[in-house]
Amino acid sequence: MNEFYIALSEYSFLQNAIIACLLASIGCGVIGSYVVVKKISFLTGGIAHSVLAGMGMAYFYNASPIMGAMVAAIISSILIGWINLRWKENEDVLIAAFWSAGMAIGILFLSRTPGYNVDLMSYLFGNILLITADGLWLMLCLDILVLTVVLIYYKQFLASVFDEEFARLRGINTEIFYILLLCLISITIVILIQLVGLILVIALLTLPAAIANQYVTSLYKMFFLSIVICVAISVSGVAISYGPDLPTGSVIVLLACASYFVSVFIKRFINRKSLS
Amino acid sequence: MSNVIVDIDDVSFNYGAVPVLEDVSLKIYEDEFIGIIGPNASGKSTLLKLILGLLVPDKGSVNIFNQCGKYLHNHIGYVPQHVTFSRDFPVTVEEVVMMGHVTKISKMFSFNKNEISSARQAMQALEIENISKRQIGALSGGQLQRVLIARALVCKPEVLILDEPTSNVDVRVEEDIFSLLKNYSEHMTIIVVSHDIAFISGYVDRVACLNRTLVCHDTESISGKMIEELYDAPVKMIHHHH
Repeated sequence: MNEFYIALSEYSFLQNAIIACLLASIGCGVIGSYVVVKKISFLTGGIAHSVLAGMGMAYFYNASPIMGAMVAAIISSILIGWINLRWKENEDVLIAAFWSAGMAIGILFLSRTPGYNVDLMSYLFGNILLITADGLWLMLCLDILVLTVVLIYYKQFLASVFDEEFARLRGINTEIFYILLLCLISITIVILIQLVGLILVIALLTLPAAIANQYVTSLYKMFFLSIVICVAISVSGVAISYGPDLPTGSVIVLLACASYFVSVFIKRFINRKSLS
Repeated sequence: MSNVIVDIDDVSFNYGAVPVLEDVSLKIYEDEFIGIIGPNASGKSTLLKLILGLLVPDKGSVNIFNQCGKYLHNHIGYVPQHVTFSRDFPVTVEEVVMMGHVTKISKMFSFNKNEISSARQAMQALEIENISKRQIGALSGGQLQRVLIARALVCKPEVLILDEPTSNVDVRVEEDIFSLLKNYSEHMTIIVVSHDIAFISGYVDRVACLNRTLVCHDTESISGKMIEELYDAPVKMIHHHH
């Protein structure tokens, strides 16, 4: 671990990685809280995987893969949201279709792209140590965008996520807020892809917020606690993986899972103690 | 009884091929306390949703304050039968009550003085002030029901609509809630749906019996025969005088 601290002061790529963890945690903690309370983890997974379509096309046409991911994420979240509102009873089938179609389109385009791209693996599984200064600026801008929208519409989001019917009676257009929420989720997915890759994104968008949910009484408190948990998990992931040269994204995700299970056990232990 | 507040005129509604309501007409007057009763699947909740504007009738019209369904959110308070949210949602009693104020143009975070004081009044009236900081998962069924009523009352509605408000609570809480509603009914139109005719007839001014079609009765005229017709089964009648 000492080795990590020395390296951190020497290498800018490690400093970038830590800044990336902090920036990603902001979006992850806030939007992850909505994913958990609205119980749409698998919808989120579907959007994350359909992003590969955009990346594949971007490779094929020699454009920026992260921009391709962004466009694909927004399009698929609007489509999933819109179809879901009109075809409610088959939500899980819809998710499965988007999930697999997105990946299939991505792979088709990649197979027609000449040469082998190492980068692709880092988008599938993330490579935080390759994050550039440009990548960090992009993350910062997306964070600001997500936070601004969430703060302006905090009350309306809370009302429509908590009790959709009642919110509608209050004159709130819950369908617009649902699709807006899915768009914010897709932006956060793009932020997180650089950190853990699109396959593992779902873990970071659910587990830290699910841990936080066990200890808070209000949504805004859940935001803060999830951000703190997310920072702790991702920074420790970078530190642990650095020495033995393990894939960082995988280490972060395993840490998140382990923390979640430990937290569930601790919570159950506390509950049992308070009952007896 | 002067002004007509809710005017349901010859309304029919189907879910697909299944007729739920047929030629239902009902006028509800200002400051009336009306009970809508009927067996399961008789269309009670559907009728409420038509009044609320959540559903649109296939035939006929529903008019509230002589307007059609929209922009009425500050005039109508609604207490749903089933809560759609999960009990582990991170939100406190106070925050749920404050949601009764939310509109599409609400300010970012803060609530104004009027909003805060009306929320406090509603919580006082429902005796939930002492649990205002509690997370909703830590409430009993009766407490949760009071929170939902407070949320509906907080915007000072002219019409309060309740769908089976006492289906998850015991008899004592049921009595508390109905005597509270009785007080409010002096200056508020209250529409309450119930399957328990014997209980609500002691409180409401008028009973509308719904089983796809609708028949109205004054509370005094309710008889065993009428209930048997409605439920299509022999019913034991218990007389109770207040």
